[in-house]
Amino acid sequence: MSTILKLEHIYKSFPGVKALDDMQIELEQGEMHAVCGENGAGKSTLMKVITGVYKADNGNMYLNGEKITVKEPNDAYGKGIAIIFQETSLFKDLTVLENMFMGHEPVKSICGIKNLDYAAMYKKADEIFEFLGITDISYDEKIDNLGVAAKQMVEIAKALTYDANILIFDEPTAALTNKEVRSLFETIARLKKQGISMLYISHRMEEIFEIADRVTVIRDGSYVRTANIGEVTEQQLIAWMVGREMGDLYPKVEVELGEPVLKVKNLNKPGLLEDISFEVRKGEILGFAGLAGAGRTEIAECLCGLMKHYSADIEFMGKSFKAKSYRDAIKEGLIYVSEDRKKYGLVVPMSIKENMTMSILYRISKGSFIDFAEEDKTVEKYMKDLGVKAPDKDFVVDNLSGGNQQKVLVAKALCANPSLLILDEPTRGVDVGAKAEIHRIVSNLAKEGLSIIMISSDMPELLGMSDRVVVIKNGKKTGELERKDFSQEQVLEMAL
Amino acid sequence: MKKKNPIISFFTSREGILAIFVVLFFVVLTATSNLGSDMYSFLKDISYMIVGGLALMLVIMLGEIDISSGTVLGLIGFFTGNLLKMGVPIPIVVLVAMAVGIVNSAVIGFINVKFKVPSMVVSLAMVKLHIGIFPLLPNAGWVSNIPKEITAIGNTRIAGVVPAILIFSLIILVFFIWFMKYTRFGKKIYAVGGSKDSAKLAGVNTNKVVFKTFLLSGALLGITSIMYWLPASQVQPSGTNGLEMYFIPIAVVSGVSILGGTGRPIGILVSAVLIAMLQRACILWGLGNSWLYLTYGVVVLVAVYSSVTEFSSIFGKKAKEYKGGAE
Repeated sequence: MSTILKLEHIYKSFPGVKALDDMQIELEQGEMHAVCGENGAGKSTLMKVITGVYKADNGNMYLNGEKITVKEPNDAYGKGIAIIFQETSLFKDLTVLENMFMGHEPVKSICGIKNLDYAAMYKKADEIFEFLGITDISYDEKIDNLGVAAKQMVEIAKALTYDANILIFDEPTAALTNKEVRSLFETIARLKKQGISMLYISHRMEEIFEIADRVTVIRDGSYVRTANIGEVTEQQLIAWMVGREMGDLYPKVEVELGEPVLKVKNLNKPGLLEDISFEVRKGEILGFAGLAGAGRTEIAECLCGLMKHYSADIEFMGKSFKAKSYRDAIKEGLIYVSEDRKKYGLVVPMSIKENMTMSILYRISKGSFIDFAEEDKTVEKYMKDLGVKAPDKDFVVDNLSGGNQQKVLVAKALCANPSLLILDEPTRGVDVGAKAEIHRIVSNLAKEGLSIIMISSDMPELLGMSDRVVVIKNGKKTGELERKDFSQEQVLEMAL
Repeated sequence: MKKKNPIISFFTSREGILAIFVVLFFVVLTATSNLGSDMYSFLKDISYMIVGGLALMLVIMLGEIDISSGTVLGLIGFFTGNLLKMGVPIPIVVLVAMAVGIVNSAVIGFINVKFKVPSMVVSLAMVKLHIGIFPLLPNAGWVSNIPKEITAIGNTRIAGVVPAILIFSLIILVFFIWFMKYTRFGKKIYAVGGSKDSAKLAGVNTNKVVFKTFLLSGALLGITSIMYWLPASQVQPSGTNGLEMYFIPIAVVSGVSILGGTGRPIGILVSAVLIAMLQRACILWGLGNSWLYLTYGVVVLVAVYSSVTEFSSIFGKKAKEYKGGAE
């Protein structure tokens, strides 16, 4: 076998983040090569560099031994490299046929004018559909009317219209049912038989072991190692993915735990969550571990009334509790701090002060008028307590660093006098220094008796901070570990 | 692989259902009023409405808009009217009209693409520019005393009732039916309007598509202006102010989603007839402007609602989420 695609010394950084750091990968002719790593390890970034969606800062790429540069998606397609995106990139108002050939429709000249050649499109589409064994999708159907699996088939068919001989799958099974996964794997087997080389991003271990020939593990944007699938075990892969050891970065303060504040029994949400039960005690930090999309955020959203149509027995502060809207949750002292702080957390064009007091205006107002003295007092207290670094309290939030924005967000939550705080990815997109500060703040809050649920994909952080960890996988609780029993390997095994 | 029967799929589509409704409306209207004797001017209105509707269809399909499409017609009319008076041949005047339209739309397209200012805002500013610049032009004012022969050319009739300009506008319509279906650029307009991000991933230069589409729309507005003013004996530039409130509804009623990404030229024909007919109905039935505007309001609301929701979902199923772009 010969190497068809080779990347070496690839660097790519985004403002404040090194996404790829001396990355490398080698794809052989006709092989199925899995790429795995934790959330945020850089898998998707790597694929986007290969397909020209992102431009690498530095690094070399070789196709069949020849050095190539891919500046934009068209370059990659022209060289026979196509990707099947995680979120499908199809046009929902256009038909299957139009989507398959978008941007590279065959044309024929009639009287010197280029006309789209529909006959050629139908012919090529027929060939591709026959090859893929698709029989139940009509060319004239609008994409909007197709299911997830059918859309994915159209994506694969679209990739083949470029005569691609390298296909990249970015977590293709994330939204598929078991039956659909089987049929996808059959399709992949057909592609492989035709000598098409494939890169397959996934963190589903059983899939990797089923269909891959080789596997490359990446971690924190760096290459770890590549191995033949027959020569590794699942435990080994997990160990490579985790890699890091927990340092003293996480100043967890031992806290005497009190009575349970929140008891959740049999939380069910059709299609998303199944029979989830847990409880949080006073002063406790409960960690929620799991992969992106496992259902952790959905649990939080159910608890605070942001998601409807679920069933559960919830007891909060000794009373039966079911939030009909987020307003209810705030009143009872259950505050959710979203993972997407710019979308659901802060109103970025407004000032620190306005953001902090947004949800407690009723408390600092006399009648309809805001009591500015009271407002200033509250805001100044929290800015000092949390160490928000800003020129003054009227500073516009948009101009703060990620870490300080996060602190403002936490302060906004604290203003509402919570009894239970749910922090969703509290340190995402925050630099190392601010991260440590946020950890210190969270630790102190727990010490003062606040109960905290922390959802985080950063494993060392989660294990460093939590008293207990609940592991969620595919909407089900797969384990619960006490602090003394923690190990990254164990949590990851439950989560995968 | 199965292909759908084109006739069945047309009459079950939005345009088809609209067409059936338009035919029924037409029958009722001719039966209850003397539309027959007024047929010529009715068809004349339809002519410019089709082309203006197409111009707006193009930009709305991108998720953009051109509010200045009414006032610019008056400005173009002022130039072309004066040229016609000077005896410049009509084909050249048509080219000048298209050029002025293109320049106007190029400004909107350029500012939109380059500085990321929403076209809603840019074209709103253009409205005021058009109205403001007009008195500063030499010989500003109405252009009257356009030679009778030229007006007669504008009013050429075929078979007694069919205006010649209607034929031109149908030719343009057929061109766009072909253009949207059989050229790569046509497909790119759908792609960029449907989802800019996905279009980029498909290797489409979205900025270029937006700018070029504005140029195309500008050329169409030039032709619209000619069709509007050529049959008239004088050009009263402020007379076209507010015509955008015909063109935008024509585009939206025809099925162009205000969020971009959908629309078919054939729908423009149907909805231009519908809007022209509503206008006539209110005159012929003696209902007056008040009813005309009320009816418009309701029609546009229903049209916008149904263009952002699935046709079937109006009866029960959930509305499409208000977001542009592919999932």
